[in-house]
Amino acid sequence: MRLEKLQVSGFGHLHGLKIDLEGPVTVLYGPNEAGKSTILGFVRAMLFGIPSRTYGSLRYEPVKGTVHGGMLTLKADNGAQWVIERYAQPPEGAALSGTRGDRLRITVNDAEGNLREVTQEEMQKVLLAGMSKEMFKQLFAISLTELQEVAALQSEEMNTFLFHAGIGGGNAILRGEKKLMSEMDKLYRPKGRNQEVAQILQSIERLNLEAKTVKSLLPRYHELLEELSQVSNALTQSEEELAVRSQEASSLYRAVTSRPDWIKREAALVELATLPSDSSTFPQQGITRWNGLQDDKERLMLENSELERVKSKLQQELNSIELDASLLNHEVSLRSLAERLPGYESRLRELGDTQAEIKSLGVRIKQCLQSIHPDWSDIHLRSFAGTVGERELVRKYISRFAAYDKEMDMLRSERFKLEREVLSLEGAYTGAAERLEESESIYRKQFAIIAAEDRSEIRMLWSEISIELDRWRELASSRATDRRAVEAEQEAGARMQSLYKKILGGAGVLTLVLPVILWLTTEQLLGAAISGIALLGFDMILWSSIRGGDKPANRSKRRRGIPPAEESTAEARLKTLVPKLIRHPLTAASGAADYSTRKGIMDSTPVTDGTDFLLMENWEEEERLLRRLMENWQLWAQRHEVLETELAASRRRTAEKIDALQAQEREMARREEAFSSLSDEWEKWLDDRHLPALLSPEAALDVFRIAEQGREWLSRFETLSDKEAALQSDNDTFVREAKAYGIHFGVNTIGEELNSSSAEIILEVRQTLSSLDQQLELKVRYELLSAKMKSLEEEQSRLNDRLNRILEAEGNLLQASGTQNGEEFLRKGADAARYEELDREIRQWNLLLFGALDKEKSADLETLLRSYTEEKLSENAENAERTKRETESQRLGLQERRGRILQEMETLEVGGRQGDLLQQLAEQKSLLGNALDKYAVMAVCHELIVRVRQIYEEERQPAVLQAASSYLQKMTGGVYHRILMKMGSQELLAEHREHGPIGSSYLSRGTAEQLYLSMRLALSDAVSGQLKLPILLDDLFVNFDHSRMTGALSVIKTVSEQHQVIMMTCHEHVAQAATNKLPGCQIVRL
Amino acid sequence: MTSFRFIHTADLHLDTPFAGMSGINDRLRRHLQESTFAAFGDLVDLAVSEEVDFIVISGDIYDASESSLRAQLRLKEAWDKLGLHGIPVYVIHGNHDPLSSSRQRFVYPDHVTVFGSRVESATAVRRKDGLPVAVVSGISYPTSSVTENTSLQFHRDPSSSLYHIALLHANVDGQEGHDVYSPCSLSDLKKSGYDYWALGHIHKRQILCEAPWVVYPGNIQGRSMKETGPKGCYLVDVNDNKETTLHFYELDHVRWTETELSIEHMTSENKCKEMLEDRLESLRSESGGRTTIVRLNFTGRGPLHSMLQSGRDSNELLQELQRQETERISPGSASILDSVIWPASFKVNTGLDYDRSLLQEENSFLGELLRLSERYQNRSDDLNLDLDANAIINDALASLMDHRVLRGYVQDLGEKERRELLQQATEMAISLLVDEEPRGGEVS
Repeated sequence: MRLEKLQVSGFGHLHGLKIDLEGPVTVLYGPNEAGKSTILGFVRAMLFGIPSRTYGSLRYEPVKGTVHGGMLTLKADNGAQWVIERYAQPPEGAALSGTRGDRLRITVNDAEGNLREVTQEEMQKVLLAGMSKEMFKQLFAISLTELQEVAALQSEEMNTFLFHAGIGGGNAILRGEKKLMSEMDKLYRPKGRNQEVAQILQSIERLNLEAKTVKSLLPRYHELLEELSQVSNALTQSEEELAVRSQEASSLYRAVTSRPDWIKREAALVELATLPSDSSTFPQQGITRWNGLQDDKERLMLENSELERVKSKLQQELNSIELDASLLNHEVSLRSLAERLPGYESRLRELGDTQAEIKSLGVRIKQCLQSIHPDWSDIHLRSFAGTVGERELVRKYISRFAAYDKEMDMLRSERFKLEREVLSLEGAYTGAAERLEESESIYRKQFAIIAAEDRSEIRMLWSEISIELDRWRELASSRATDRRAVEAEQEAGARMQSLYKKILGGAGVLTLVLPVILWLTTEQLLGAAISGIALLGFDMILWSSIRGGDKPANRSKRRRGIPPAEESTAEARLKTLVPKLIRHPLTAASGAADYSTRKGIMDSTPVTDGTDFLLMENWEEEERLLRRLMENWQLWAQRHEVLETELAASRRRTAEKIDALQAQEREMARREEAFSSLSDEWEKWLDDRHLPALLSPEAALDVFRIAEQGREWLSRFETLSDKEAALQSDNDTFVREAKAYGIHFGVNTIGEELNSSSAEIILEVRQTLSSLDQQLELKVRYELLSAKMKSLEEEQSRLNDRLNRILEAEGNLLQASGTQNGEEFLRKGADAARYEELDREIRQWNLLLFGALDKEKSADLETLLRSYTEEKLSENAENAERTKRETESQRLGLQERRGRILQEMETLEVGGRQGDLLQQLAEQKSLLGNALDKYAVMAVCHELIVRVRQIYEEERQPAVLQAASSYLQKMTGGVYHRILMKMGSQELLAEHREHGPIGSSYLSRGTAEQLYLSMRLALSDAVSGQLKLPILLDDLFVNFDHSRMTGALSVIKTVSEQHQVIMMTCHEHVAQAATNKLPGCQIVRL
Repeated sequence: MTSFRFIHTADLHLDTPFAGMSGINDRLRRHLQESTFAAFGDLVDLAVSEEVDFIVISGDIYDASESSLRAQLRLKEAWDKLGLHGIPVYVIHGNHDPLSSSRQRFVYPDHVTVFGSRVESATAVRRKDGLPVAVVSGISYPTSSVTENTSLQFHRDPSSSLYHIALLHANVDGQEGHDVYSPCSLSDLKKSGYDYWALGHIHKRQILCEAPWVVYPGNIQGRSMKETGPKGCYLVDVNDNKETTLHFYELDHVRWTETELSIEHMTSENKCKEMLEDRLESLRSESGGRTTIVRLNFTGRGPLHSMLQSGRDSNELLQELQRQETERISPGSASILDSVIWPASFKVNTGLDYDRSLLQEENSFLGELLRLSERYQNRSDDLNLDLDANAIINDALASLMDHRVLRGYVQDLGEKERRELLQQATEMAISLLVDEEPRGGEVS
């Protein structure tokens, strides 16, 4: 097959390119970027499809956005023409036929001229012999990149091919071999210890060892069985012997041990024979009984003598007791006397008390009488009737006396009161009179100016004057006194001023001094203050007067129109009236001058008035003064009248009180008269009763009380006297009785004196009584002793009885034993006891020695004991014992041995039953067999492979390698003459002419490329087989020197005989060389 | 003539280990170990319950080479039990328990009659009435190897009309798989005039002839994959007319079996495992509760071949199956020990799904290899491989020859095994190379 025409519609930056390929070799020559490699890609794309977008650069998307693809015209070997039209699927277009969605059309115009369309697959199969894209790329469309890809030779596809072609497959075979080897190694290795087989062998070894022991169990068991029977026999024999031996030994032993007893028995037998024959007739337990009797007898004797002693002692005691029979006979009467003795004693005491009381009562009565009246006796007292009536009478007296006293007291106090009232009234009256007088004097001093004497007259005058004054003022105001106005005014003014100033000066001093003086003299703060204020006011007035000095002048000027007629009548009337009222003003004024210093208002006015009064022109001033004087006077008149009335009232009241006093005095005199009659009456009453005359009724009441007491005491005195007499008589009776019984009453006093001292009597009685008691006690004791005595005697007789019985028993015993006395009896008794003892001992020894034995043995023992001495016997016994022990130990040894055998047998049985070693061994063997089977298969397999490989390496020279070798030789000019490929490895070796094989990786770059090129060319030759495919070489010679390139070109020439070759180069010299070297070479310049 | 019945058994091989087993746990191992005894115990029980008049045992009661105290102890117990029931036993010794190994056994009790190294005879009686019913003759092996035809020593006592029974441990007509001891032919036996030949030695049960009766009862408990199928003894009834009826009684407690499994259409390992499990379950349901040891024989061609052939993968598969089974018999689940189906091993007779003849023609490494292998196997047709083939095997296993134990393995390889070995190796080579290398394009 060859490529005839390339029509590139759009591929990479190529478009609209059209190349016709002619001749066996075409050289596409062009500078860089002329599109050589793109053409290579175009051819690949046309044949195998445009790479999808995922491959990017390989896709060669048209730069100018034209249609992507083109047309390829090929000529098949059979002459048919193939046209492949292929365009990349336009983005929006529907999928046409084709593998990768390309727009594809393949048409075949065969030699006969039939035109038909084929599919991609068909095309690939027919044209490319089903070659894959990759392979094509690797072998037929080679760029420098692919050339240098050593790995390309190892691709699976290639390998398979090489394998079939007879050169490759080493890889897989090697892997297989390796796998086999490793598996085998795991199973088994000579000398190895950890491999499966080795381990199984080890465990088999171990199990074998163990199994050996297991196997030995059975023989051992057999041995044991035999041994067991032997031992059992021996044991039986041994036991029989032992029985005999132990029999012997035991009889000897018994003889030895019982020999001492036997000797003792013999001795006892001998002794028994020596004892008297009748020892056995002794009464049973004779000695004991004898001894008992003796003991009893002794004891009884002792008791008897003891009793005797007690008895004599008692008798002695009885004899010592003496009894007073007479005293005892009087016991009853003495007892009663003793009972009454306390009564007697108490009466004595009572008697004493009574007498003392009588005495004191007598004294008291006497005193009582004395306190009433010295002359009074019991008779008076008894006759004095202290009745209720009398007492009432006395009480009446008392009240009457008391009433009198009370009245008198009242009257006296009333009189005293009246007297004091009178005195006070008289004082008041004199006071009032004084005040009035003082008032009078005031009047005289102050109103001395006033001419009128009578007050009513003054009033009347004053009223007249005041009417006149009013009238005059009207006149004065209507006509003024002009003529004297100025001078008068001036003079008056000046005078007034100076006067005022003087007065003011005086008044100022007064104002300061007077209150102080007042305060100091009268000590009345209020009064001083008032006067001070008053003076101060006066000062003020004065001061204002000074200021207002020119006012009257003005006024006087206004009054100038008043007619003088009217004025003069009024003045006249006034002139008449005023003197009536007052004396001459001047006098008055002079008279008042002294006072003015002391009595403010009253003073000053008259002074001015006085001075001015002389001048009628000064009426107004005078009038004013007058008015003021009159006002003061009216005030005084009122006060004076009050004082006058007061005085009159005082005088009247005093007179009344004096009258009352006199009446009182009279009443008192009357009362005293009544009292003296009452007193007489009382004195008479007292005298009637022999009472002291001076006795007051209250004291009489006391007498009543005392007399009553006295009477009481008197009656008590009498009763006590009676009691005394009774007591005395009782006592006398007692004493008498006592004397009647009183055998012992004081030897000298009996019957002679009744009045022997009572104390003595008491003492006597007591003594008698105590001796009576003693006697009684003695009597009781005597009786007790007598009773004791009697019992003792009884006991003594009992003892005697028992003693007799014992003596009788003693005699019986003696008689029974056939002895005469005690000593003999005892001796015989001892013999009998010994006999009995010996007899018992012999019996015991017999029991001890022969009890456990039958008759035969007893006889044997007896014989043994008799026939051997002790030494001989014990020697024999020891020997027998030793023999026995030996036999026994022998037996024990046998038993033990049998036990051991049995135990071992048992152990063997148990062990034998348990083990599973053989089974384990069988298992291990089976494992081993399995492992070895596997191993053998693998080993044989391995062996087969090795053999085949040998055949291959030795016999079958790979054709591809041969071809490649020739190519390389040609290229290198014979420097390298052969290419080798080691079986199992992928490495290519180039055999140097001198240096031998060199690994491709160690070759120079150029040489390596030549090697690869040779390989590829050889491979492509081999691969294409019958189909001769075109070969496209993209500038492969760049690294070749000239001679190598020439060599390469000559190789190309050889190749081109079979295949169409298309070379691409950008090197001028390559193109040139190709032209030179390859005749008929087509050069296409791009 | 009086009717009677007896039991005929042979080859007890008490306490011999089970071969070709591995990976078993203690529990199962005890069970296996106990199985020969258990089978024997069943035999005794059968004799008691069926009230047989006597038992004949035709040799190989125990393995002297595996001398086991346990075997002797158990045997003694069994004798004692039979003695207790008054059942006499007639015994001969075989090649595994020859008379020379007397140290390996206990003394027989009185009711056990042992025949010596020359033919001896005894008269058996009917138990219920003591009537003589049969003449029992036998001959024991004096040593483990008897090559003489001892059957010729048996001659019917012409004076006796009793039923004649011969006990012989022999390989009749040279059967394969067993040592050819005491070789004799069926016609030899027929000539002797005995009514019943109670044979031993061959473990496979077979009745060679019915007139006279020539019977191998087989062993009572299979102990390896060679002894598959039911095992037991014959209960023989002889009626008044000497008409003899045989009845087989299974005694085995563990049964060996082989099952075939084709890997064709098996695509995945899981599928394979499922099928295996299914197969084991169906075996379990068939086993009737008896412990079964099974060998799985893979056949056919399929993609699973590689896996099976790869020792590791198939081992893992087997171990997984065994583990599952072990779980069933772990101490927790006590009672189902009987229904264990134990996968003992795989037998791989498979190949890749490739046309071998096609490959063979290929001009390739593998083709070359196959051609070579073919040449080795086919050059000679007379059972023997050619020298080259033997050389290959010997070369391959040279490393084993250095080992004193393993040497035996190589030496023991028979012609058949060698052939198989070569075959398997070739298959392995195919799978190795083909697996690794995808076939090339259809380049012609």
